[in-house]
This record gives sequence, C-alpha cells and structure tokens, in this order.
Amino acid sequence: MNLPRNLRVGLVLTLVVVGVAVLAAFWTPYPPLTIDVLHRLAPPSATHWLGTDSFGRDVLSQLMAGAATSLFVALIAVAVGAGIGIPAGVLAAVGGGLVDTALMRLADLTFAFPALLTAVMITALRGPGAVNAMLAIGIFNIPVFARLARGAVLSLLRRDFVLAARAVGVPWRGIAWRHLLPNAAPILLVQATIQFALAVLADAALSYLGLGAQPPQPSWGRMLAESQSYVWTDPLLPVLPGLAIMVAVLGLNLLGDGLRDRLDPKLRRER
Amino acid sequence: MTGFLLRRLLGLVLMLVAASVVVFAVMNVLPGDPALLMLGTGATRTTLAALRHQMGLDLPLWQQYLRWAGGLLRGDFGISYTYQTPVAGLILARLGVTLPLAAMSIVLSVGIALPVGVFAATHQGKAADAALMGAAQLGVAVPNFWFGLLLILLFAVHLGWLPATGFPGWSGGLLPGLAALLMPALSLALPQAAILARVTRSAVIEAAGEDYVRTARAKGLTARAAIWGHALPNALIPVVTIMGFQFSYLLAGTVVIENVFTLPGMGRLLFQAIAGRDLITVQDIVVLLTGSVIVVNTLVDLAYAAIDPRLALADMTGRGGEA
Repeated sequence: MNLPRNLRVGLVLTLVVVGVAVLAAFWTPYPPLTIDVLHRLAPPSATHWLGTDSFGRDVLSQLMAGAATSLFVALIAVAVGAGIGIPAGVLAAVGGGLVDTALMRLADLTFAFPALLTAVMITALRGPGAVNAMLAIGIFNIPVFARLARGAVLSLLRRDFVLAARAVGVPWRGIAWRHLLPNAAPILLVQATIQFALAVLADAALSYLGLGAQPPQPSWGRMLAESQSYVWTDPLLPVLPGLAIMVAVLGLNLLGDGLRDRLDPKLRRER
Repeated sequence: MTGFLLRRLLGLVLMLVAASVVVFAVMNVLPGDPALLMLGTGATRTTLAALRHQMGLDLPLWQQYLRWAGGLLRGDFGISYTYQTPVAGLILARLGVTLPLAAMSIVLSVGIALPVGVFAATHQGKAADAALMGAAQLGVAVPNFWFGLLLILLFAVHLGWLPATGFPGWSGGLLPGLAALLMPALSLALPQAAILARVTRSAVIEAAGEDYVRTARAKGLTARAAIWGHALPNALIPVVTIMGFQFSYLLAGTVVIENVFTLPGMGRLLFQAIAGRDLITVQDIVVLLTGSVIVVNTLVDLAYAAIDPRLALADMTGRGGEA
C-alpha cells in the first residue's frame, strides 16, 4: 500500500509511543520510582541509558512510565469530549430549531473559556490530580466534537440515502446509527487524533504546573518542572521529557493530517 | 451595518453575563467550601463562621453573584485573602507585564508567520516549502514551556546574551524590560506562528488560483505584487479567524510561560492565588481573561465584516455566520 509520507511517519511515531506506554505497564529497565542517592545525576551510561535524575531515579524508566500516564489522561479526555459531544451534535442537527440553537450557544460559551485556564481553575477547586485533569481537558473537547458532528450530520441529512431511509420509515435512532455515524466517522476520527495530540500537550502543561497527575505517578510535565533548575548543570534532564512530549504530539498530528488526506481529499485544507 | 453591530454587541453582553455566571457557579456551586479551603481543616467553627460572613458566603447564592458581578462593573474586584489588598490593584500591577508580553508574542507570531506562509505558498512543492512546513509541523508539536527552556539553555546558559528568568520592571528603562520579555514572548509565539504559517500558506495558495490574481498578473503586476497586494488580503479571513482562536491559547499560555520565566504577571498571580487558596482572586482573573477572549472574538467577527462586507449582509438575512 502506498501511504502518504505524513501518515507513515505519524503511524510509526504513534506506535512507538503507544508501544512504550504499554511496555511500561509490564517492564521498565528500573522501577521508575526507586531512589538511589549514590547514583544521582549520573550521565547516560551502559547501566542507565539516559542517566539518572537528582534523586538517582532512572530517567528512561520514568519517561516510559510517563508515556503511559500521559496517553491515558489524553485518551480519557478525548473519550469524554467525543462521548458527550458527538451525541449532542447529532441531536442538534436532527432536532433543529430551538434544540439546535440552545446546544450551539452552549458550545460557543464553552469555547470562550481558555481551556487550559479553566482546567487550572477546576483543578484548583477540586484539587490537582489526573482525574480532574482528564475532566477539565475533556470538557473542552465537547464543543469541538459537537460542532463537527453537527456539521457533518447536517450535510448528510440532505443526501439521497438518508432521505430514502426516512421515506421508508426507518426510525431516527436507526438512521443515526446506520447512516449518519458511519458516514461521519472518518472526519470525527481525524479530529479525535488531532484532539488527542492537543490533550497530550494540555496534560503536559497541567502537570508541569503541578496540577496534573500527582507524585509518585510519573508524568512528563512534572519531570520537566522538577529538573528545570538543572538546566545550568545537567541540561539533558529537562530536555528529555520535552522531547518525549514533542515526539508524541508530532506523531499524533502527522497521523491526523495523513488520515485526513487519505480519507477525505476535499478536507486537505489546514485547520 | 448598524443592525449587524447592534446584534453583535447584544450577543457580546449576553455572552459576558453567561460567562460570569458560569465562572461564579463553578467556583461556588461545586462541592467545596471556600472558607474551609482557605482556613484548612483545622479551623474552629467560629472562625469559619466569621470568615464565611466576611466573605458574604452566608447570603443566598444569587445575592452573592450580584454582589460580585456588580462590584466587577464598578471596578471593585473584592479583597484578596492572601494579600489583604483590593484584587483590582493586584491585577492592574500585573497587567504591566502580561499585556506587553501578549502584545510582543502576537507581533512576533504574525511577523514570523506571514512571510513564512507567503514564501512557502509561492514556492509550493519546492524544497524550501517542504522544509518550512516540516519546521511548522515541529513547531505545532513543541510544548511552549519546553521551548522556553531551550531558549534559556541557548541564550542564557550558553551565549549569556539574555537574563534567564525574572523581570527588572519598567523603571530601569524600556530596554531591560523588553529584553526580559523577549524569550517568554518567543516561547509563546512559536507554536502559534507555526499554526498561522500553515493557515497562511494554504489560504494564499487558494487565493492565488483565483481569477483576480490572474487578472492582476495579466495587467502587468509582478508575481510578488499580485501575491502581497491581491492574494494575501483575500487570504486574511482564515488567518484572522485562527488569530482569534489563538488569543485564547495565548492567554492560557501566559499562565504557564510566566511560571517558566518567573515573570510577575497575571498568570503567575493566578497560579499563586491557586496555591494560596485565594479563591476570589482566582475567580476575578478567570472571568477577566475569559471576558477578554469573548471581546476579542467579537472584534474578530467585526473584523470579518470590515474585510468582507458581504458577511455582515449574510448575517442580517440569517444566513452565513455558521460557515
């Protein structure tokens, strides 16, 4: 198969990150949290491939465990957004009139809140932690999916096969499941990939601020924050987690762009 | 046009009220007692009751909201629990950092994105285009706080050209202040410039295929003049739209970046207020930032109408606007 280059690169990077995250659940070179003060701030070597941090914890093991945390938070956040947003969008499109107006104004209002900022507010109120980070990032994915699903369904409703299904009396629920969602799925999948990338970035920012996953659970953002003061002496320490975030986000973005090119050539315009 | 303006202004007011209600509700209806949060679980019943009374927490919720929202309109933002001074003064002092920071990063972002986007568009399919768009793809994926750290590593640690963190204030002259804001502004600008450059590129490519650009070329304009004079202005609508969206990311970004560079701005104030359980300050800053996002989005809407009057007309007849 002759896949576009961005799709190939994106797929490889994403598979690597996901693979590492899954592997981390079973095996890391060292337990990521084990403190070893005798070998603190060790440079990369045969025993510690990426060195150790200021507590002597193995950096590679922490990065691997951090991948799992990061992907899990992002996955749930996108699932929350899609799980509420898509039904709301379909309802708005099919319902029309007042339902449509009310739902879309609600989406506008949610959109007005800077996502990260409100995530900060929510975690401030409910206490920091991975669950609240998922919730906070998830809420801002709702209007994205709602608008997209609504737009896709509105254009599908005018298509002949939907009109035909309505004419022979297929109930709305059947039309939604059998005709609307499968046809809107590609565009929603593309968006989900892009939102996943944004969620990884948002989670990194939250955990950098200390509002995401809490210690001892390893996270890329907190690794970066904790090692920031070592930028003068051990610059590799803060550079590596950022690199991990970048690779994950880059892979997902390329995957999304590639899928978009492949599934719907008409949608090639940038977001 | 007047009707369009009035409708937009009414929408703006409604959105602002709705946003303030949401912020208030999130801060006050969610489980959790602000007074208890402030004092900690060791507080006695009487001190708790006293603080609740002082904060107006013993009033019905709608009265609390009106007290707060009415205060906002008069410029009375309440008293900070941590600093024991009016929140309005605290915020005003921080604006001297955050506003120049935001302005600088918008200027940097547009200053990078427009030339890059136009250059890539006019060299579509060539190596330069591929390289620039590859760089943009990287730029979108870079977390801004990490990019800030890389800048510190390069310009402060290795080259020693710029101060790593901190802010000297404006009293020592314009230059030291701007120098301290340069790296933070660049960190905020890079990811935004990357997105904006991609949008500019595709919008210019699309516009360049239109008849009026061909006509401009036919009447003897150089390719450069046709692109900058005719294609780019017509490509501005998607570019301005994305800039409007980005404003919201920019504000949120200041929260993170001001913490990376320890700048005494609104974002850092917000973060410290959260750490110090200074809830009224959190509530005020969030509503202020959200309000400015809403205002900017309305301005973007109005800018569309200025760029393309047909949009205002379409809106009046009840069509368009949704796009």
